[in-house]
This record gives sequence, C-alpha cells and structure tokens, in this order.
Amino acid sequence: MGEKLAEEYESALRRYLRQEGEEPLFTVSEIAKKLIKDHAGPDVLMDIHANALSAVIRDEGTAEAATVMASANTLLLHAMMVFAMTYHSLFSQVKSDKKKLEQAYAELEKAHARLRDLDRLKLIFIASMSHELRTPLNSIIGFSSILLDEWTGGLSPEQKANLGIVLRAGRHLLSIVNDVIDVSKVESGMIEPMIEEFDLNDLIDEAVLFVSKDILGKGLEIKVEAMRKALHTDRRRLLQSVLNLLSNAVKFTEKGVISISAYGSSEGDSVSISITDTGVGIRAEDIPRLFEPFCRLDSSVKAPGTGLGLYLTRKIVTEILGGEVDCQSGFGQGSRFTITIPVDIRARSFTMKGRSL
Amino acid sequence: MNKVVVIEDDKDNLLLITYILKRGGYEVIPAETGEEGADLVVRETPSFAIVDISLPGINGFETAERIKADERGKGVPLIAITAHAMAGDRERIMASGFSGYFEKPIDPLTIVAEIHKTIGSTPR
Repeated sequence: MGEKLAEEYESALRRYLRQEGEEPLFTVSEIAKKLIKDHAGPDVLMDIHANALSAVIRDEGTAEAATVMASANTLLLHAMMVFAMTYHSLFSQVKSDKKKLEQAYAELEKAHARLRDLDRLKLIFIASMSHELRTPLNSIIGFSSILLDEWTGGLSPEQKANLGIVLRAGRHLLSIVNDVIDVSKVESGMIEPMIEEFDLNDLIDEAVLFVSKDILGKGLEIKVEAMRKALHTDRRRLLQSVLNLLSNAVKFTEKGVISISAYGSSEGDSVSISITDTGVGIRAEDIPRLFEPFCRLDSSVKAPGTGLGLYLTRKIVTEILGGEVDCQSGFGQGSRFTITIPVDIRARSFTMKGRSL
Repeated sequence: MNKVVVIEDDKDNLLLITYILKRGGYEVIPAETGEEGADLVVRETPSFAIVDISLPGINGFETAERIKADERGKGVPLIAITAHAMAGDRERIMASGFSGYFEKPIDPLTIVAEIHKTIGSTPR
C-alpha cells in the first residue's frame, strides 16, 4: 500500500518534471532547484504536496502513508528553504544593483555637469566670436557706407556698384552672425521673455513699415488686416518673428500680393498672425523640413539667406512666446505662415483651434 | 566748434567715428583707454562722449562711473557703443550713467541724428 502511495507521489513529481521514464527520482534539492528554474512558485509545490496528501488520506493509518507524508513534508520544507535562499540572493542582487545604479547616476551627474560646462564654454566662445566679428564688420559696413555716400568724393558708377557689393556682403555677414548668436542664445535657454504691453495692430504696422520698401520695390501689393488687441508678450521677439516671415514672403514672391492678417481666437486667449504670399510655394514633401536649421530648399528662386531664419522663428515662437508656427503651402500656389501665440505670455496656454487655408 | 570725446581702442572704428562726427560738425578728441578718456572728458567737458564698452584696462562701465563721479563730468551725456550686448548689458549700461547705447555696426548715415535724439539736443 505504502509503495503505491510512494509511487503516486513520485509520479506526481515526475509529471511536473516531465520525467516519465524509469530514471530514479531526483533528490529533493534538485527538484526544488528545477522548480525554481521554471519559476514555479510555492503554488506548484503546494499542488504536488496536496496530491500526495490526498493519496495519504485515502490510505490513512498505514505506516507507508506516514512515510510518504513525511517525505512530502521534507520536500516542501526543503523547497521552501531553497526559495527563501533564492529570494535572499535576488534581494542582495537588487541591493548591489541599487549601488551600481547610484554609481552610474553619480557618473551621469558628472557627465551632465561637464556638458553644462562645455555648453557654457560654447556660449562664451560664441559671444566673444560675435564681438570679434562685429568689430571689423563695423569698419567694413561703416566705411563702405561713407564712401558710397560720397563723403570723400565722387565715385564712378562702376566704383559705386563694386562698393555696393562690399556693403551688401558685409550686411549679409552681419545677419549670419546675428542669427547664429540668436540661435545659440535660444538653444541655451538664455533668453527670458521681456514682457511689454502693446497693441497687435501697432506691431503689424511697424513690421509692414520695415518691409514696405522691399514690397513696393518689387511691384508687389500689400494687404493688411489687423485687429486691435492688447498683448502682453515679448514685443521685440514677436516683431522679429513676423519680420522674418514677411521678408521670406517678399523674397520668394515675384508678382502678386503679400497679405498680413492678425486676429484673435474666439476664446480670446490667443492671436494668430498669418502672412500669405502668391510666391513660388513649397512642395508638400518639403514642408516638414522647412523649420530645420540650414534648410535651403531647391527652388527656382535663388534667394540669399542664412538657412537659419525659419528655424530661429520657430524656436522663438515656441520657446519664448509659448506659441506655434504653421505652414500651409503647395508648389506654385503661394504660402501661408501662421504664428499663433497666447495673448498673455504669463498664461502660457491657450486653446488651439483648427485652421484651414 | 563742439567737441566730442571718443573712447575707442580699435583704431579703424575710431577713424570711422571721427569721420562721422566731423561730418556732423564736431571736433573729435580721441582716447584709446578708459583712464585717458575719463581724464579728457572731465578736463574738456565736451558736448557728449562716446564710450566703447569693451576697453583694455578699465572698461566702459567703470569709465562712465569715473566720469560721473567727477563734478565736471557729471553733466556730460555719455553714449555707449557695444560690439554685442549680452543679456543684462542694457540694464547695466543704463545703470552706469549712460544716456543711451548703440550696437555695432553703427550706421554712419543716421547715427549722429540718433545721438541727438538720445541726448535731446542738436549741435549748436
């Protein structure tokens, strides 16, 4: 009888261990290890134990049953100990992992500090470079203006033309230097918005005044529709962004109209400034690349630029003014760029609404 | 003739400013350091003084403070010229006793008028 019980117990174990052959039974510690290796929890052991127990109960009172029960208990106890030991080793593993993690964290902190130092160095470098570049540029631009204005005597048309190139190149170099400085400032988060209260309509008028000479000089038409609305934001940065988009519109438009419209959202917490042109337009596949730095799209219009204008505009609008810039265009269909910003920069949030061309 | 003291260590820029101011009807008294410039301003009490911010020795801020600390220099309007204004420079310039500042590059065709607007006077 007892033998039968022992067999049942053994076969229950074998079923678990998938050992149906004639091999002798494993030692209890081997079984426990196998259980653990299989990630079997105490529940599996309990099942096996219960299986044995039910057999023992069936043949209650026999010495064999008692033996089987005892060996089953031993197995259970042993397995529990192995489990406990495994958990203990896992726990110390976690503890040492935590220590390693702390070390890695400390190293990361150090690396971060080093990067910050490097970034700071980059900024100092850019600031001093900009100083070094602007000083000779002051002479190049200044003296060529003086000569071109004939302060020092008359010039032949050819001399004027050549000097005009020097002046233009100097100004172009200056705009590159300015853009690079602005980009590095915005990227390093050095620019804090300077909040002023001003009227949206006045700002648009000022922006238009800046480019009206270029617009009319190219024989283009200007349409302005700007509502009156008090804004609390960084006036200079908003003007810079609007001017950037406006001068792009003029640059890429040979005939037709440049329209500027500025209006508030129905919620009243944001304003949108749209600049629409009838220029070359942008291919749909190029639109996502537009705002990347040094992006110069293949275009029939060979326009001078730094390749930083739109990148900078987007950075300023999103990171300083808390708004968004969006472009809608199609090749040969003109472009529309829209800046949407909160009316009050201190609110820093506004309701975006769907827009359509 | 109205006098202007120009404190600028870059010789090319000094020559440029001299051209511009002469055309504007001023006599230019040049200085290449802040120390020398401050002494000249106090001694000559010019119509105004142009001070470069980055100078060898004492910088433009200290030069302005030195001028403003002197009884004779107190009334001379000071115009700062900077190659590039860093964050906080504008506030520091205005706090150091300057009447205004211009960033390089300056526009020779408009700067004299801009200066007059800043100091609220025209050449006598």
